[in-house]
Amino acid sequence: MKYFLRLTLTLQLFIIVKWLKNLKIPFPPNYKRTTSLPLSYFEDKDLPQFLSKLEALGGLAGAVKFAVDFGANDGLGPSQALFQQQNYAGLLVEGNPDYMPSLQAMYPEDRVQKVSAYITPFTAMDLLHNSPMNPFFFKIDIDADDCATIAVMLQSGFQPRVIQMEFNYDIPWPWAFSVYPLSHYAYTVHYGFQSCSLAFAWALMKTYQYCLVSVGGTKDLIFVHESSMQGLVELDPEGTSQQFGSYLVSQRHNVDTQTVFLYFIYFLPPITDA
Amino acid sequence: MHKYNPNPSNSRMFEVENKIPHPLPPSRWYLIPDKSSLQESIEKTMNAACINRARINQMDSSNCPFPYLLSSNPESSVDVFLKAIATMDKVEIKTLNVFSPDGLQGKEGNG
Repeated sequence: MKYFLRLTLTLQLFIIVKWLKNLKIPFPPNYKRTTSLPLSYFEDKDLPQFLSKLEALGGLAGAVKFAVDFGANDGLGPSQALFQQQNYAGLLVEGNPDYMPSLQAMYPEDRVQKVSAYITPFTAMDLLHNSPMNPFFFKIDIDADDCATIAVMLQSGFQPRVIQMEFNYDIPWPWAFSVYPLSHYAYTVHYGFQSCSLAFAWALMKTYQYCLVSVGGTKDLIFVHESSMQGLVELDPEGTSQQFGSYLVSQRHNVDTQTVFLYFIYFLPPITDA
Repeated sequence: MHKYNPNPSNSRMFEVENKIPHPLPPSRWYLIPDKSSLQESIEKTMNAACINRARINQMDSSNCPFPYLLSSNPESSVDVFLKAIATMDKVEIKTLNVFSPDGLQGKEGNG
């Protein structure tokens, strides 16, 4: 009987642990995920509503309802809803030509340009030759020299109102990391050596009058030009980095804790009859 | 997010990637209070990542570490960065094109 109870208990605990392992933390503690302004934590699906509200507040006045997506991949990115639900015109650029059929199928309309080209600081402005210089939205996620590319674009007069950029979340505050802007090397593939850290991105964007307003579960940052900050609150980058770091730690440590817990169950001392 | 799709016909390269030791899991950097040991850990990790990346791209890993900026002062590192950008010229473009049109870069996801 004791053995049966022990086995049952172990099985129950095993099921609970398995469930806990699959339990995903939806967003960091202390972050407000909301589609009403201000926005401190976002997911891709929040973007259309966020832009709509910003437009209603007058934050997008003078800009063009156009979205530029550098590193469009298979097209299932944040700009998808803008093109498909809100009739944005736009430009999608993807370096891997294998994704072009998918992009063409998802966005058959002529108002959405699809370009297969490798994005670098040297090609970026050429790629924009049919695009307005003041679009509502720009997203960059090229897992390479992202910060050099964006710096060259902003330096050249490109001024989107809202910028979503992926950052290297492996580097904590206050360390400013970036790949050096000398493109002799193939800065592709992840594993910590690409793009730039939150501290670096924040300082770089500050020089171009962009304010950090949000961080997302897709490891992206949202910057808004200071001329469009009506109704928005600028995030403290240090606090943001610490909270986001705690979020990453909590996600990854859960698995460790549960593994230890499992070991604990399996290595309990044997039951002996008194 | 990161969507690295290794060429399925070349699994050897992916094995190499997984064999590169990671000095310290990045998620735990947030738990280290000592800045100097944190910097050392980040530098070791970046060097390992550089070797990893060079092998994946079939480049000479003796070039590692690839140039990167790491500083605890974001503003000053941005100044260095912007000066470097200002000095980039057409020669760099030619160098870059050696890799970009048909090289491994173009075969991987650019997003």
